[in-house]
Amino acid sequence: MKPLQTWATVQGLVAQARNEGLVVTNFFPDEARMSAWCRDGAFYEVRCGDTQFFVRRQPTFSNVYFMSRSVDALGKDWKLFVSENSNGRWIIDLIGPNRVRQPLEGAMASVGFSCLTTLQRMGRKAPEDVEEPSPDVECATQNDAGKIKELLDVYFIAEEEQIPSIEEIGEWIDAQTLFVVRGGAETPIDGFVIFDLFPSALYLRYWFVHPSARGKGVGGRLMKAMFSAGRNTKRQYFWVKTDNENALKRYRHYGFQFEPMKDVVMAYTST
Amino acid sequence: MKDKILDILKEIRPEFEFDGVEDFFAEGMLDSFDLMTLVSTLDERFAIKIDGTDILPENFMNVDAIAALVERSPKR
Repeated sequence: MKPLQTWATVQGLVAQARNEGLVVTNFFPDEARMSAWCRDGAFYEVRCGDTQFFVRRQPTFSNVYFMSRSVDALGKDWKLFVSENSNGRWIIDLIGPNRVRQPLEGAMASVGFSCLTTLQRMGRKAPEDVEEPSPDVECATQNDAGKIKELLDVYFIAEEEQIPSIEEIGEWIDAQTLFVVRGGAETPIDGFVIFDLFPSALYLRYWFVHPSARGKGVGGRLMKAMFSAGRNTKRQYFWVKTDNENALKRYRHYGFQFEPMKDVVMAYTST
Repeated sequence: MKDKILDILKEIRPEFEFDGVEDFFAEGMLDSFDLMTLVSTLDERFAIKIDGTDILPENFMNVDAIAALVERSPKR
């Protein structure tokens, strides 16, 4: 497995793979995130047969991305990949509408992957009327970053939900797109919401209420503050686990609807 | 050609008016998932093969950039 040191190298491999016709993919290049993975020495590439693999190493597992000639080639080349690389826990996200994604799910299941969870994109047109935010919702400060990272690490599932780094949390704080409701001594943060705000769109990344603060309207106040910040956008969207009935009920209450874009997270353990 | 490109963009993200916008990505109107959908749709609808080295955000940031890319991409 070769380390990827720069974003330009990643771009070069993607261009080469596409020119070779390796268009079956779960790899959606994102310069900011992937440049950080390169800087951290956590991003690698492997070529096996007709598939270009990209691997992001994490402490307890690795995310695998691919660009392959065909669904059949992907399954065959995965067997080569595991035979040539060290043992480990491999996570693959298969993203897209059903007609594109389902054949990939079948191929990966046939070589031993099992489904961990399914996420689906929900979105809505931004409403015209937005309520004013509650005064107890504040922009987080850099002093909150460590605590927020700790809550994400404890309450979110890393293999399924792409936990951000402390640097990314710091960037959201600088952008004033990370809001908190503060709690007491035992739970200094009762809840938080993290989002990306563009001129035309709002992308909700993480929404969390501490178990001890649930049922007190904390989550609703965080959402209202976020919607207020995004009052000039036209589209608001996020990914949600399709089996999270409580969250789905709340999102539907806000007028969000499923979009035809799913992310099926699958895992493989090689021993 | 520009009308056809605007129709494709509208199919992908019907919430937005793309005409006259300088940078779809900075505006949050398209993301990396939409970009891959856009590439394959342009390939199919214009019967072209967009070169891998051309799949850069600056070639898809507005309608003029996309039109220029479609014009210089080889026909299939």
